[in-house]
Amino acid sequence: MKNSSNIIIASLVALFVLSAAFLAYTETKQSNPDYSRNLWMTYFNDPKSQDLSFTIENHSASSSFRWEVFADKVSVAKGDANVKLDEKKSISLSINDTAGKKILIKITAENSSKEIYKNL
Amino acid sequence: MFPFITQLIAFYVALALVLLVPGYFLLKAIELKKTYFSKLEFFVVSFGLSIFSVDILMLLLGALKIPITRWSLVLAIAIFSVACFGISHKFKSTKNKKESDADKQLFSFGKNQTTLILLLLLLSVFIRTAYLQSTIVPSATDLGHHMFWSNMIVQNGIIPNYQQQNVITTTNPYSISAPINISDFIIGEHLVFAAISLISGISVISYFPIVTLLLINLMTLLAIFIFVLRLFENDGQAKNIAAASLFILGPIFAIAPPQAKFIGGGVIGNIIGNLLLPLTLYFFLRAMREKDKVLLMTAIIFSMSLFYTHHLTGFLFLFTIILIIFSTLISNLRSARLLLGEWMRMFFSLPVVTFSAFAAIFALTVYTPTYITNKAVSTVVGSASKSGHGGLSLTDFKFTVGEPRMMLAIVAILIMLAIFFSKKGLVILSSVKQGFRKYFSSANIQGLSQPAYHLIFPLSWLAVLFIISVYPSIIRIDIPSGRVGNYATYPVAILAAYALIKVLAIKRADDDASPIKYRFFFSVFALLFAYFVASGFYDNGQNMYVAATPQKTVETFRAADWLSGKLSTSDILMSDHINMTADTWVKIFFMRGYNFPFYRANLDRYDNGIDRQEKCTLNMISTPSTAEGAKCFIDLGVNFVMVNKKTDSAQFQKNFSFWQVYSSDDIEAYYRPNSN
Repeated sequence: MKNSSNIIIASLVALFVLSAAFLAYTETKQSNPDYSRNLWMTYFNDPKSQDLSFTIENHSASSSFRWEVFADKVSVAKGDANVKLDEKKSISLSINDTAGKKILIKITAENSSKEIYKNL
Repeated sequence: MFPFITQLIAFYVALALVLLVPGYFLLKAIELKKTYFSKLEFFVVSFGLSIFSVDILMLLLGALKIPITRWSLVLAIAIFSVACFGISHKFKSTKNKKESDADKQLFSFGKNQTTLILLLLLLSVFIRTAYLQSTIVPSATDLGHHMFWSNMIVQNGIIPNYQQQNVITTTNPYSISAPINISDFIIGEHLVFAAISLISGISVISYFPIVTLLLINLMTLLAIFIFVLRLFENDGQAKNIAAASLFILGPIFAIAPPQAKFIGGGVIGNIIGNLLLPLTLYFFLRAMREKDKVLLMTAIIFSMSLFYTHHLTGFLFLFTIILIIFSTLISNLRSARLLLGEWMRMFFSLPVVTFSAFAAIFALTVYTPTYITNKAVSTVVGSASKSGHGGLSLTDFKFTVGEPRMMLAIVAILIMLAIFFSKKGLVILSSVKQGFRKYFSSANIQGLSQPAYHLIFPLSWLAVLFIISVYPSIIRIDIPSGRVGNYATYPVAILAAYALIKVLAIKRADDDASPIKYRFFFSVFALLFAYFVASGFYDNGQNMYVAATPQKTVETFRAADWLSGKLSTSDILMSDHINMTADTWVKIFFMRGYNFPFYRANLDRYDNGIDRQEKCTLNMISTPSTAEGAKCFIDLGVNFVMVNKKTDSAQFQKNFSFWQVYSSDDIEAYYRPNSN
């Protein structure tokens, strides 16, 4: 075939373009935190200060979260938070008499729970 | 969807600008006097030359203190391409034909051959893509390290100094060292990726590094293909041997190192080296065979590119070319003086001397590879100093290159040696000699005037890799034996392809053999071939499995992103390499240094007495509550820790000094207040 070199080059380029598009699409999809629908995290808004405000960041299917604050294992505050998929919700806390205590915040979703704390 | 499509188009444009355009025009300028290449060769060589051109242009920008940005780079590529085009347009010989002879003969494939080649390429791309979809979310350790340096170029617009800060425990208090030079990285591993990121605007934390490596690996298949065609161009079976080599490297054994596993793992140096090495040998072969100074100059261009990309590959190339030259002279003693004279004439020609002078001036004034400036070459000479450097066993070597491939390669070696000794009249038994010539008559035994390069090149290439990977002590080399063994995949595949086609070709020479004899032979060979193919696909199946961890990677990235927004320049972070997914990518979120965050390395690194001279990074994660662990935190000022929640949170939760400030399913972050 006279143009076999051209056919080979064009075919390889086309195959690569398709493969790259597929891999790019796969990566974009998989690296989206919402992709697995079961990821959520919580963190203090200011990790270095004594401020106890925290955030729930939701990338999971459940949107109902319950939080409870313990000062040395004694419940001192609690509440509910509705955080939709791909949203964050900051919760401000004002708790007195925290000096020398471990202030633990437990956040519970449908099937899992997470904790963050500061030893003040 | 629209941003995704525009980003993808930007990526394709960047790929073409970085990996095709400059090499294309440079090659046009090289082909002034003569049409050297078929279209397929032109395409593959343009790709390789583009890597060289972009590296040189970026290093020049860096040396001239011109910030390396999207537009300075595009402008540099444009000026370079226009200059090359101008040269080719102005000085091109009028006798220069549009179509090379190779296009009409060696690179003109029949309909069935073309269909087979396309099918092999389709399978090669498909199998690699199927594997890479599991690893496409970037998490590989090596790739993370490399992308840090590429991102350094993207962010700062300058050529990076390869330095890192280490923990020092020989002082009291413990301290963090000043930046010290490291020799593990070569600039050519990072420039191309920085260029693509700059031009496309895509982050290095994305699909593009792996997809680019896939492209380089696919071009390696074509590089081997054109090399094999040229290698056996005087053999009636050249096209079949080239197609067989594509089959052996493309669809079967497609995943095992050094192929898709190395792409997914981001083993950049090896992947680029495996493209440049066959291209370098391709040009040396053609230069020696065609006695052409322009081809020799191009061979030296590719050699320079190798040494600016991967010192290990460069080192192996050096040994290979020395053995090729030595073998050529030894096997042609009677014409050795003539050969040396021809080579000298080529070497001291205007194109070769001019480019060699350019390379020397460039290395001395523009950029010297770090392994030379750091005097690291001496570290690879001598007895094995690390585990894994002492040589592979023969069994390990066999499995590294693939058992059936090795078996066929041995058959090829026997055939080649027999051809060689038959030619030299060294076969004592004339009946053996006659029988052999009958079966391998298509081998086109060349006359004494032309050295048997088609035997010398692949055998020397394999011999060097075999000796260095199995018996490194013979030449006192201290480099990773397994890595070197992986390189042997390519010459072994070429030899296996040769054996496959030569044994199949016996049928033609054996027309007068009895049908029973032929049927028996063919049945045995069909069984062996079936075993060969089944092994190749079984190997793919065995390597296909990847523990899919995109969510764990995403968790690491989210935590790193959060921490990067919370840490000030005085805060210092520790992380963990043992149990955290994609930990080497964390540093890219901070860009505060190659060793930031400090991390707990694999445990053997602390015991081998070479890699880690301190144990602070171990103690701060494994035993933070011990006096030694606490001292490390205090002395070094480490106040943030990022660990795997399931394996390493307990020791921090028991310690009252730490606050747990971030929590997800897989990652937790701790803060240690009052650490100063």
